[in-house]
Parts: sequence; structure tokens; C-alpha cells
Amino acid sequence: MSWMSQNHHDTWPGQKRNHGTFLSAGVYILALTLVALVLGCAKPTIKASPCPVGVHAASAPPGAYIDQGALLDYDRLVPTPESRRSVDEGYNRHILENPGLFEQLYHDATHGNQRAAWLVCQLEATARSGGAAIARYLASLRCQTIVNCKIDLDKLPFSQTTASGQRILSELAAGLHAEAERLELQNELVSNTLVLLVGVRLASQIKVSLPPLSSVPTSGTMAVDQAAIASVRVPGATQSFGSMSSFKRALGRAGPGKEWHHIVEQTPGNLSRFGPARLHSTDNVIVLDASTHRAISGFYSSVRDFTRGLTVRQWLNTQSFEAQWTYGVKLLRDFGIVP
Amino acid sequence: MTTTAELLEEYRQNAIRHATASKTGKYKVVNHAHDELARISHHFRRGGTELQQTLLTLLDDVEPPVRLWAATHALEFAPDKSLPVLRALAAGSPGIVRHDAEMTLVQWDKGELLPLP
Repeated sequence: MSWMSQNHHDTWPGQKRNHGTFLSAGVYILALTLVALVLGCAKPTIKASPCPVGVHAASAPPGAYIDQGALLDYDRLVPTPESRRSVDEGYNRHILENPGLFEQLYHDATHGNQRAAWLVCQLEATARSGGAAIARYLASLRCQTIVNCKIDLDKLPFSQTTASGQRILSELAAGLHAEAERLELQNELVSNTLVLLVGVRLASQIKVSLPPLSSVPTSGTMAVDQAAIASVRVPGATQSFGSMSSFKRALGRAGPGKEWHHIVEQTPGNLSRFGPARLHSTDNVIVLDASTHRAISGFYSSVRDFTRGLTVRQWLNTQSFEAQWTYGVKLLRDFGIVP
Repeated sequence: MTTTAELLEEYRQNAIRHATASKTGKYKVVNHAHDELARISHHFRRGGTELQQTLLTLLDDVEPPVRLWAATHALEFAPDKSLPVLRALAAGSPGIVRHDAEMTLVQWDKGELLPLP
């Protein structure tokens, strides 16, 4: 199966064949990045959908893209015959990986720069196609049966804090969601991946028929436990992250003498079963005194009378997220941390 | 040769050590104490009625962790005497002993408390 296809009639006029494709180098690099997300998958098909030559600025994506004051060299991004330049792959990669320059590209696309608009059109089509490929990967038998199936979203360079980064991630998520609906996927991996791509708020808007995104179960007991941890929880709406480093980047340090504590531990087994978004969520990560955190972590490594020779961590390993969360809050209560 | 009284005292000390080290997360100490408790309890549980009765004397021990472990280890041959002790500990003040007692009862009630070797 081909992993990339294109229609050469949709390329910018006069653009030279580049490494066997008529795609712009930026699109080519984005497609490669998306393929890298589904490592281990059979080569996915990521198509660059047609973008009309001379795409009009009015068809460029809406949004308040901020002018960064950067002057992009479009002769290196989308060369014309007149420019007598070849596509500069390194420069394309630089634009994709730099949130400020990527924002500038979007700003230019919405302010009359036709080459920018064409490039954005192709990038977004590729992102949607990449999202669909991710959905197919998540739906594959391999992904449903192999424990370590996951999408390494840290490979994506786009920022969730810029309008352009949010836009391209939304396109990726939209492609994923559309394909997930077509395949009638109803699994947790899809919803977790959506959360990782665009955050809980936007994923909730995109999601129509997928299971609830809430990272914390809502049974009666759990609701009581949620109230119990209010004193040690990060205030505000639930936030979920693709990694603990992302969590810390967004929320900072726990504070002097404090440490972040996962109620449901971030063990390899839990990460693969529940997904990083569910573990690295403000419903699951709380602030504890460093000494208390060490005591509780040590407790999870200890053998109790009720675990019959297993450590608490091993004993919990096969239990559901809800059961582990309930147990974790009970332990906090018995350590005198929450009421 | 270690006497029964000495073994009983060793059992008591390990039960107390298990609870004390649990409070600070010193799991290696905790787990070593657990292994010692398992070893000594095996001697009492598998040593006949007389030794089992000796273990039951710890159900009235002044130290809650000792009562907890003795009740847990005696569940298989004296549930009628062990369960009230565990229930009393589970209703006590918050702490690790209460936690362990509650969890032991939960597992017992669900029939998921695996038999001891």
C-alpha cells in the first residue's frame, strides 16, 4: 500500500518534481511526521487532497493569526519558475517546527499571500488524511490486541497555544474523528488521542458519538471521592496532557517542598491500558508534601496482608481505572491527607 | 533453639516494624518484616492446634498491628475469633492499620483473599 499519493495537477504552477513527488516539501515533511506517529503500523495511506492552484486568500482558514513580523522566504517554500529556486526541505522543516514562523505562515495565508494559502491548504489536507490514518491504526486488530499500542504525539511540533497550532491539530483531530465515525469506532484510544491532540475542551466539541471524555469516572462513590480531594486538587476545569512533562510545562512546579502525585499511578501497564491523558489529568494528579509522596509511593511498593505476597502496585495492576482511583483516594484518606 | 515465646515476640516485633516503616514508605523494611511474619505464622498455623491457640493469644495484644496480623493469619482456622478483631480495627482511628484491616475484610467478604501457603 502506498503511504502517500498526490495529483500533480494540483501543484503550484511550475513547481519542480521534488524527490519523486509534486508535493511541497512542507507537506512531505508533515506527512513523514504523521507516519512516524503510527510507527509499527503497516504503511498508512496519507493523501494530499487537491488544492486549487492560486487558491484564493478568502478560502484560507479563518482565525486570529498573529503577525509575528517575520518575513518568510516563499521562494524556498513554494518556488515558482521565476524564482529559479528549488524547494528547501530544511527551511520547510524549520517553519513547521517553529510555532512563531508557523503562525506567520497562517497569517500570510489569510492576508493575500496566495503561495502561503496554497501551502496551508495542502498542509491541512495532509493533516486530515493523517488523522484518518491514525484512526485506522487505532482500529486495527494489532492496536486493539497489543498492549503497547500508542500514538507518540510528542513527535508533533505544533503548539496548542498558538492559533495556527490549534488549527492544524484540529484538522488532524477532525480527520481522526471523521474516520473513527466512519469505522464506527467507540474505543477509549480514540477519545484519548483526541484529547491529546486538541485538549479536552475542543475534543468535546469535535466528538459526537465517542464515549465521554471525562477522565474521572462519575459513579456515586467517585463523586464523593472527587469532593474529598478538592483540597489537594488543581483548581478549575479538568485539564489532560499527553505526558507528565507537558503537564509540568503547563502547570509548573508543585511548589516548595511539594511534589505532584498520581492517584492512579503512571506505570507502563496503566499508561497502555488507560492512556496518558487519563493519567496526566488534573483529576488524577494532585499536590502532596514531598515526604508524604515518598511515603505513599513506598506504600505502593510494599506487601500488605490483603495483597497476599504481591506489592500493592502489583495487586492493583489488573484492576480498572475506577478501582485504582478509589483505592488511591482511600489511601490518601487513611494517611490523613484528605477528609 | 528458638522457643515458642521467642517466636511469638519475634512475630510481634515484625508486626510493629511493618506498620511503623509503612508510615514513612520504607518498603524494604516493610517487605522484610512481611516475609518474617509469613515465615513465623507458617510455624504457628501449620504446627497443630496448640500452636494455633498460641497465635490466637495475640488477638488481645496491646499493639494494633500485632492484632491485625494475628487476626489475618488466624482467619483460616478461627474466623469467628479473627473477624471481630479485624472489624474493630477497621472501625478505629484513621491510619495504616485501619486501612489494612478494612482491605482485608473487603477481600475476605468478596472471597478474594487468597489462602496462605
